[in-house]
Amino acid sequence: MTRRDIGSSSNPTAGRPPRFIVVIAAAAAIFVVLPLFGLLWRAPWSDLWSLLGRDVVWDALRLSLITSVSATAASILMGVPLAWVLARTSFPGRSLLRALVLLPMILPPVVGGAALLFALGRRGLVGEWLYDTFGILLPFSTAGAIVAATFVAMPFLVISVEAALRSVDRRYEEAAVTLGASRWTVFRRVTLPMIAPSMAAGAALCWARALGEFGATITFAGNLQGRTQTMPLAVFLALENDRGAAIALSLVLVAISLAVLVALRDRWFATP
Amino acid sequence: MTLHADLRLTLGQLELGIELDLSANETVALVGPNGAGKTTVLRCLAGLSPIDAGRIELDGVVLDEPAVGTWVPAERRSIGVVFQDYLLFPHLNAAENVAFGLRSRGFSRHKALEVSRALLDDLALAGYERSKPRELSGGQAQRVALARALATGPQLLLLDEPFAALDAAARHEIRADFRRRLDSFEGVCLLVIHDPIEALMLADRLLVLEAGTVVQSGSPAEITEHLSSPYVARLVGANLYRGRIRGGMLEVDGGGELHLAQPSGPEGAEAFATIRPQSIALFRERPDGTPRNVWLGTVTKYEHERDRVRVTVGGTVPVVAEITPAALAELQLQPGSEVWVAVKATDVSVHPV
Amino acid sequence: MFAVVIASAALAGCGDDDNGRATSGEGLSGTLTVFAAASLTDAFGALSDMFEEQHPGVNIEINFAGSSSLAGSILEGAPADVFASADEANMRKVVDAAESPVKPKLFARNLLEIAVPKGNPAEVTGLGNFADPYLLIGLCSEGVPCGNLARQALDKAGVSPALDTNEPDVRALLTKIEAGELDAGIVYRTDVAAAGGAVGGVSIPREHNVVATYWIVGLTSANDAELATAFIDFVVSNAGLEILNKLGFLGP
Repeated sequence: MTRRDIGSSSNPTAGRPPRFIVVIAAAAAIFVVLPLFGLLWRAPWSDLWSLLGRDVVWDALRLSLITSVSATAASILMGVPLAWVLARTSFPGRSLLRALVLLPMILPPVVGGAALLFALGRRGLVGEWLYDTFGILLPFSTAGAIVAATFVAMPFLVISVEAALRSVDRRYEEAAVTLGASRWTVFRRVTLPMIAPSMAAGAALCWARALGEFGATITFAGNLQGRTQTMPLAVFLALENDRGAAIALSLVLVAISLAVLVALRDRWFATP
Repeated sequence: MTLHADLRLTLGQLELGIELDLSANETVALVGPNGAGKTTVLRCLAGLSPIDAGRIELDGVVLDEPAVGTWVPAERRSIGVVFQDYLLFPHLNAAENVAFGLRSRGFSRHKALEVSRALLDDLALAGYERSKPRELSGGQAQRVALARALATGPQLLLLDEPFAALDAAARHEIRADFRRRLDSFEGVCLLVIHDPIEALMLADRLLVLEAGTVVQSGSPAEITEHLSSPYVARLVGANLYRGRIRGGMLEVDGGGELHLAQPSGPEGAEAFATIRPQSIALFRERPDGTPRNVWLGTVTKYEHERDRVRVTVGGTVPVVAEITPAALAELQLQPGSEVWVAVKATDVSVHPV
Repeated sequence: MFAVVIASAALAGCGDDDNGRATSGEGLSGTLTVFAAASLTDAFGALSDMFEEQHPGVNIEINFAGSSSLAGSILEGAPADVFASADEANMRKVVDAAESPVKPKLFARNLLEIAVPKGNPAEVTGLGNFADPYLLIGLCSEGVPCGNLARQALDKAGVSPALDTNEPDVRALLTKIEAGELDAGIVYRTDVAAAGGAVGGVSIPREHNVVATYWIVGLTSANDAELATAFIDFVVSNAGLEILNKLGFLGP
């Protein structure tokens, strides 16, 4: 075994890492991969095909994709301006605002769901007005599931974009201004493209979080096949009385997540 | 077309107070030590920093006048800026970079790229339109930055240390061309330059800025003669001559010739020669010995500077020599005294134009 | 294992007097882990308090969740001493897998009731309203006993519910009804009683109603079979029944 075997191909002088680091890294990898093997070991391989053919699986999958993608889109639409304000302006209470915006990241999702219920439910602080005035009902609807997912996932996007905006070299924006670009043009043609890689990574994280959301969804949007029962909810409920189905669903979710992560692998670590 | 600016600004420790009057047919260089405020002046003219008091007027249009409340933001000024690090947008290729200004002002993509390609072609960058900035050499990037600044046809061109990011070879490669471009530019042009040799070579007029005020202003020749501050003295650490290379010598424009130590360029090529004042020896009698450049001149004046004396000697090749006070006393020099000037050929540095 | 079976049988045979004090088992101590159906939360809370009072050295830890979830965990090997289920099916699952050495005991029964928010804003009068698509209706999910029984009742009444959500357990369902986010749901009579005035109740006629049976059994994995049996005996005793009745449960 030569040095080059261990060092990365782009930096042959990297050399071998210290042995104990390799050992710990191997243990960490096993720790992460072991539950996956647990799933595979208990999978009902003989019944898998018929299990996967069931409506409940496809309804859940469809809902999961709809809610996670919509939540990501909503997070981008709302999160980028929010990140801009946090990164580029200063006003009293800005730190407090940032803390509040990031709160859903550490709040237990069920608590988040309960809070959403008290705010946007039929008898909620704002929800009651929405219902009485416009007939808008968020709980027990797909829109509600999207709201729940957005609530927990948006902070991931905001934090990525804010960091990116802070680290952008402002001099490029000045150069654009001297060339006659309006502030909107500067944002659209210079700032945004320059933060695009970070934004993509943030969006991927956001999507992954939205896809896996359970607590807030079941507490706020409820659980009904075809309307609000996303994959994680379906797995949880199947665990109660149909383990085989639960595992089948889990495998589908794992497969999709893996596929997306592998497809995005270069983007995660690419430098502009 | 002219630029009249009266800039007063306090920025941290710096108190800037200068007046500028620039016209379109001259290239003016702003020189000075770090912290003097050169970049601040550029930023004020560009509209990136507002002034505290004063007035900026370009071609009759007032751009900034706090007393009256007039302020034209950078994006609406007719300016082109070449930044020290060029700041070419990394995600756009060369043509798109150059087209940026036009597109921002409403030109269609097609038209803007057309103009852009023509400009790049003009700057000998045809074939590099699709290259990304990171694929360009230093000299190429500098030219793209210049093209980008010129593309919108600005009335005021501002250049911040345009050669700072280049190595000696690249500077050499593009300096002559650069001078030509600046000369052919129809608007007002202001350069910020740190390297005194380049300032003297590129500009028609120099403004020496120190601690926020202009301490000296004039042509390169005038600056070279006078001494108004230690910085200027250091800045002007050289005698500068322009001429043509002929047979191992430099034929100086305006008369005189200097022997060169080694072949310094093709026959007939234009070149600059510099001689450090410290390398010039003065004698009462014609000296024997090695220096190949020896001639008789007349002392026009001398000035004391700390522990040195600078003696200006007129003649076919005018020089400013630096000698010790002791030497001055020994030589008993007075304005009008005749004195022999000796310079070794090796002390004559030649720079091709 | 055989010895444990004998020991449990012997203890089960030991009588306790009608006041519910175990004649053997004086000086019981240790921790007892009980897995109990969610709908038994208040009941077992009271029962375990009284038992701990009578046996100061004993600490009872109860894990409340849906019966099927608990059964599943026991089958996966979760360490529990006693299992109390809200239906026969889940108890059978556990017993059939030989997770218990003795027969389970039926210790209480429950009836279903419709729960509505305080004041019954949607004016729900019976199971018939459950087909109304304009009302927000919730049930327990199908895997949970409450959910299965509710669906049986609706079947009996010939109603096809316009369902809006399947909650994972009774508590979750009640919380939403209490908050007014749901117009009606089907829970146990005991749950409506336990909620006090926070939730309103609409009774289901006997011909449509379904009886839920509650079973309790000591598990093979019990650390202290004696302690487990003592607790079970207390639950099925008159004293235990008194507590259960107070909360709205029917006797076995």
